[in-house]
Amino acid sequence: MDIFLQLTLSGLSQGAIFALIALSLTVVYRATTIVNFGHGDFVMAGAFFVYVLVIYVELPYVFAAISAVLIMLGMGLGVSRGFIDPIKAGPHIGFAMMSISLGYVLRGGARFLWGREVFPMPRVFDIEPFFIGNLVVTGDVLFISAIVAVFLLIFFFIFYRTTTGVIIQAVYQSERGATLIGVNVRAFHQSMWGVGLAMGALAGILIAPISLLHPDLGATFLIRGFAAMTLGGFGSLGGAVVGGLLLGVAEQLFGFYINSSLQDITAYLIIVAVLVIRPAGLFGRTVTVRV
Amino acid sequence: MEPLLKVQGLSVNFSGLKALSDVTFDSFAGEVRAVIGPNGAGKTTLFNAISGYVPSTAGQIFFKGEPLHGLAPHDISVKGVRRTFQTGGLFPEMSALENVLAGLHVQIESGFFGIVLGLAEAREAEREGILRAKRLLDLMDLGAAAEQPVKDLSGGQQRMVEIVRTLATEPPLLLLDEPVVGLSPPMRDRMMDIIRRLAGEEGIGIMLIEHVIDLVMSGSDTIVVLSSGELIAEGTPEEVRQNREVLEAYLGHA
Repeated sequence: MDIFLQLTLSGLSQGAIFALIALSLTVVYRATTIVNFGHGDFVMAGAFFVYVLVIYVELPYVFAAISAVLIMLGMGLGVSRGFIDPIKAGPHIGFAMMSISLGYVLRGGARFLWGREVFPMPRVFDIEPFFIGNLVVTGDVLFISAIVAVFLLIFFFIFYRTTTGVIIQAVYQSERGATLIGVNVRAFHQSMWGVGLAMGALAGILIAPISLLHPDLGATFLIRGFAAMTLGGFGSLGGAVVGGLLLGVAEQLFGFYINSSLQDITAYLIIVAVLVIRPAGLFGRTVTVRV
Repeated sequence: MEPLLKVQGLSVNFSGLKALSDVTFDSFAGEVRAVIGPNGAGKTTLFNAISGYVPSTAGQIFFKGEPLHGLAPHDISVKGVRRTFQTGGLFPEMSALENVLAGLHVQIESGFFGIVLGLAEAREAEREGILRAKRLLDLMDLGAAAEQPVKDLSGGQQRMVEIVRTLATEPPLLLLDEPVVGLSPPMRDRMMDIIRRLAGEEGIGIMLIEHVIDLVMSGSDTIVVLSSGELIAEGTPEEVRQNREVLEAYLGHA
């Protein structure tokens, strides 16, 4: 029983990262109907910026992290304005090609600058592991869970309890309607790209101290983001969070109780199983046709 | 009286096709102005051009003396020229009341920080908005349906919700694209009644596209007749009724 709880705990903290990535993908997807296949690399880029700012610029960690999130926010605005707007009239597949290519450019850029080295990310708060009953709680688990929990609270509060959230939901439901009531939909798309990449960067910053930092960091997280979205229901914000947490726990349990090699393919197995058994996912919404 | 809207020499071409050519008229506050004409006459194109959804090829549009041509649709909406579409303008998952409030939120400039910080004016504006929205929904017999997602309402009810959403922001100029289509005759009369009252009592300038000729004749102050993209007549219902060109456009060559 102890081992089960221990696995669940670490699964949840891993899952919190997946949830954040799935949520950031969903924010962009819901706003623009674009699936950002390069998202993993933007996650990686966020973590790399922190590394650069801490090691080379010698900024305190917290400032470096905030700066990196802001840089990625700006990058999101730039990507939307510079690379998505110009191809908006084109076929939808263009968005997929564009996002994959931008991702590889970032990955290639990171390889070019740092080679294939793996960097240890500096630890943020060195907290001694402590016990709750027989459960070991490490500083990382505590740190990640706390940050993600606070972030999610703020996110969902804004989304469901503020006028800004109401307007965001409105644009999600009808761009024509949003324009009618005076919303600048183009600027909205740009800011959602900014928010999406900033959230992705936050995920990268939180995971890098555990997973180590390398140019290919993003790829493994992209597929987990997709798996979380599929499990929770593609396009559902709450579903992305629940899906991420469940995926994190499932990876730990499958890896321990069945076979450790299963851990890495849990995400793929979940995608396949969900699509076959319940394509809409746990909180799937019926697809509304935009007129 | 200073016109609310001045349209001067407006032309819209779609790849060589003249959808509107050299249309000129003024529209005034407190006036119900109907735009009529056979299918393909350019009525919706005229609305699209005024509200910024299609670029004009030539000509100018002024609202309260400020140029509108070249502005994006959302900017024109914020300036107070509000329109409705025949379909697709609502937020389907939201209730009627939420739809109306979403429209108001964009108007409440204190916006996000105002609400989060609990600023008094923002709260006050929110409260007033809710009251106004409820009053308008009641007026349209939508009080009972106010809490339902609008996708579950009938087509006619949806249309009214959209019009209420537009009205709730108290715009100086309203462009209504076939506001009564799909409504039952009693609701149609009620809608026309409300439109007339808004113009008469609140001094809102209203332009509407309508096909039902009796409604146009009884409900509007001025009629603009378009045919093949050209303005062929403008005047009171009585003047337009006796206009020879109008008869020809509608009945074929007399």
